[in-house]
Amino acid sequence: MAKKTKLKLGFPGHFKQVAVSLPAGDPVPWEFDADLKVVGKRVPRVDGPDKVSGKARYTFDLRLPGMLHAAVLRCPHPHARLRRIDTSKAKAHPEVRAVLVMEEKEYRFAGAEVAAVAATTLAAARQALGLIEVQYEKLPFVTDPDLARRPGAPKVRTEGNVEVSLETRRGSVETAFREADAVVELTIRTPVALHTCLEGHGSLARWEGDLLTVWDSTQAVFDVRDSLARALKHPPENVRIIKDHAGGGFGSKLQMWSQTPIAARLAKLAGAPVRLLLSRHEDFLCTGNRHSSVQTLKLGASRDGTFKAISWRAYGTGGIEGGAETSRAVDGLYRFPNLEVHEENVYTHAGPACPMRAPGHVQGVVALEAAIDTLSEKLGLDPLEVRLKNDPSEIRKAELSVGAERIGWSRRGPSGSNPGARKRGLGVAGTTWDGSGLPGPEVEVSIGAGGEVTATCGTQDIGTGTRTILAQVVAEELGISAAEVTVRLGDSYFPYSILSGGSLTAASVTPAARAAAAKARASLLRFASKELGDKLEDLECSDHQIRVRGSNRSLSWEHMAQDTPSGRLSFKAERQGNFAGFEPAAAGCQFAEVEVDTDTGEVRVVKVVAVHDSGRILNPLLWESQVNGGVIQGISFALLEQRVIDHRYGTVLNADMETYKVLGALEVPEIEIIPFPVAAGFNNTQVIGIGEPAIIPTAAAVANAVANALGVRIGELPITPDRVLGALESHAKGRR
Amino acid sequence: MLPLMANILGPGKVPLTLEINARRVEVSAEPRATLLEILRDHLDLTGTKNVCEMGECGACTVHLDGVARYACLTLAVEAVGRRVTTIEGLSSANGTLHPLQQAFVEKDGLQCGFCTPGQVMAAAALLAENPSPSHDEIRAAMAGNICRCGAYPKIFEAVAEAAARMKSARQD
Repeated sequence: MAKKTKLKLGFPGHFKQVAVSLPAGDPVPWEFDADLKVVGKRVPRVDGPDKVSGKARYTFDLRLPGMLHAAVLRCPHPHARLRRIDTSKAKAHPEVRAVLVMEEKEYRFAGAEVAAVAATTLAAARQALGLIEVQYEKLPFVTDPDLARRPGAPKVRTEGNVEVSLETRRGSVETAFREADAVVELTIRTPVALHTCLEGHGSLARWEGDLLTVWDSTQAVFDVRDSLARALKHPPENVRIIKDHAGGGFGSKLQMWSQTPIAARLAKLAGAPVRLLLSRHEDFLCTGNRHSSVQTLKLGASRDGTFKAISWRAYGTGGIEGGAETSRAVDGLYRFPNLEVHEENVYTHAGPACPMRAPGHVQGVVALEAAIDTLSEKLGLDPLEVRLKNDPSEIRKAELSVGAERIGWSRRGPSGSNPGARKRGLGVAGTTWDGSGLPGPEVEVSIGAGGEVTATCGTQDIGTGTRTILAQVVAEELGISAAEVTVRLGDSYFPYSILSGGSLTAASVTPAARAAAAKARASLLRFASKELGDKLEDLECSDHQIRVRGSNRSLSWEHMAQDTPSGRLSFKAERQGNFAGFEPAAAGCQFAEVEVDTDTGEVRVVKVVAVHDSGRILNPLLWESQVNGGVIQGISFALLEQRVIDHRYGTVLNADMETYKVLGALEVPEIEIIPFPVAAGFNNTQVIGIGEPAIIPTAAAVANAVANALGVRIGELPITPDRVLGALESHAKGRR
Repeated sequence: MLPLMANILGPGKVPLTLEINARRVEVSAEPRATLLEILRDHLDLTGTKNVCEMGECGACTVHLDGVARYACLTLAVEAVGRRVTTIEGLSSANGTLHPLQQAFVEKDGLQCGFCTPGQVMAAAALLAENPSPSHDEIRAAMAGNICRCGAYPKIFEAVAEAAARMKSARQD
């Protein structure tokens, strides 16, 4: 039975009693100002020593005795059909042990898999690819989404290249635009971006009879297990996916990619373990990207800056994959009584898109916040005031005030008013993202015969600190330190968990860990009460024992574990459903100051102020790292990143780390992070994920700061020197 | 200068004697093999990471005679007769972390950790040459190492902290 009660939710100055229905048997949420000993502290990450000393083994570091190395033959054409393939010479290579030809015989992007080889060395496997004789029938292709939209364009799929991905209407935008005092319209373009996790995609597969074990660089061991079982028509209980450490993901490892079944099938054919690690080039072509966007936004407001209506017409390409959407960014960010959305996904003969840190939102917020600045300018209003007027979130409004103070918003002059060649500008943008977590994950907490505490869960730590926060939550409940809890994760043979993405992990797994640890604690207390003959209320749990208050009598956990037949006490709990929250999601905002050199076109981000709430901050040290990462990736997206395709040939020109630029040490600005703790509700640890919120507003704030500096809007990301100089030149021509 | 000794020119595999983390090791490899391949595939020293294979990301940073080098752009034969230090050789034999490693842990100068060994090795080469680097010197020295997670601000903090601790340790 759920327990109906009231919780004090909100933040200082804005607390209120909220009616909630707490899940049965779940621990009561910690109060906002609860005196916690481990949770909320700057605990260094528990796997830090292994990572700084090179001891941590990632999928790319694993070897098995007798292991073979695999390589993949990829179609060089953006669209082709297989006419003929002859693998006999490859098979005859003395070091080759297995050759596999894919079932799919039509290839829809340059880089699609044609065949694969397993050999005793990687060099031999790559050499053998050259021995495969292939004849392709080249087919018409289109990689430019603008061309792909035209009638008569080569078809990427039989249903046509254009698919309506989202269509929404609320109120009447036509009437609202007519009645508005000011209306602006602008078009913003964003490029295809690549995740660029430093550990790429790779799998090591081993068969032992019917049991298939795959070490996979993934964010989702259970999802990969199910996908692989389906692909191989093999029972999922005979498939085990393991991922101990992962070198980043950012969304690109949420699904199974082809290297996993290829490694498994080659291993079966060869009768030996097979490792298939994609090269950087392959990784950039085949394992996902952030879809592009062309967004035309029309915004109307009354004289005082109150938004009346928004029209959001957009399209983008995710290559051979669907899902291009940007307008969801507006939900919960600003109030628009009238709204019209029409979004299209355009299929092209290019590598598939997949989620990338706050998919769609990063792109959408760039366009939305640009439109708000343009509208504010037209109305002669301070863009910060306009935002405050239309923001539905009490949290974000408070955050905007704090951030404005820290960046020195009062210094902001009218756009383009800055004299001299080096111009400074300020910009702001907001964020919202629901990372309040999902039910389902299970955590097991056990106490061994030596008194050691272990927390086990099939979740993943992709660098966010999941291991550490799980240890902290269990330690808090049991009255020990985080270092005394061993966390085991990343294995589909462990208790179930969801994928690690969408800022969901912290809020989905820590409540289950807390519930399991609370069960352990209650059970230890009951056991000790019976054994010692003392009342429960006279007992306390700390220091690996149950003590009787005010006496020196105690019973060690070790003793109690040894007293069980298995020599081990274990307790499992499942994450229950969410209860009510203070606001529907996490808020947050960022301010950016930039300096633009109008002689060279270079943009330098001077400072970013990031104000974020995410419910209870479980570990400020790791939380700051997440925010830094979001800001840095956001600046990178704003100024540097773009996958470039030569549309004449349909091939990617910059599928390597020299020509695909990401932000480096020299370009990192001063980042001032301001945590904004909130009693958020939702779950028993009251945490909300921070991964996504931290990246959403950055590029938008930077783009707005550049527009403020120059008095000219660069309508396309990344804001490269050539685009800055080009925009300044056409602006000057327009004036003459 | 490449030591052009006849016995390491190939073709085919040739014996190479290397000094890695103060230990002499004998390997048999083709002359085209990079130091990175030898470390990872022959010696199972997988702390040195392979990411871009073109000297762009710094994840494979090691020391050659105390100077930071990209192992992916270094032929194994170039390392003959020189001291190679990898991340595994940075901590002391009893497993005590180097002050830089300790500072990276405490300041959280890492997230996924895949670039971390390279970052630590680049920083160690910097501190060996310049024990009291300014903030700008730290940034410049770390410019050859990409961290996609964006740990840079805390990496800079960690390097500055380690420099200060190593300095005070020398004065004690």
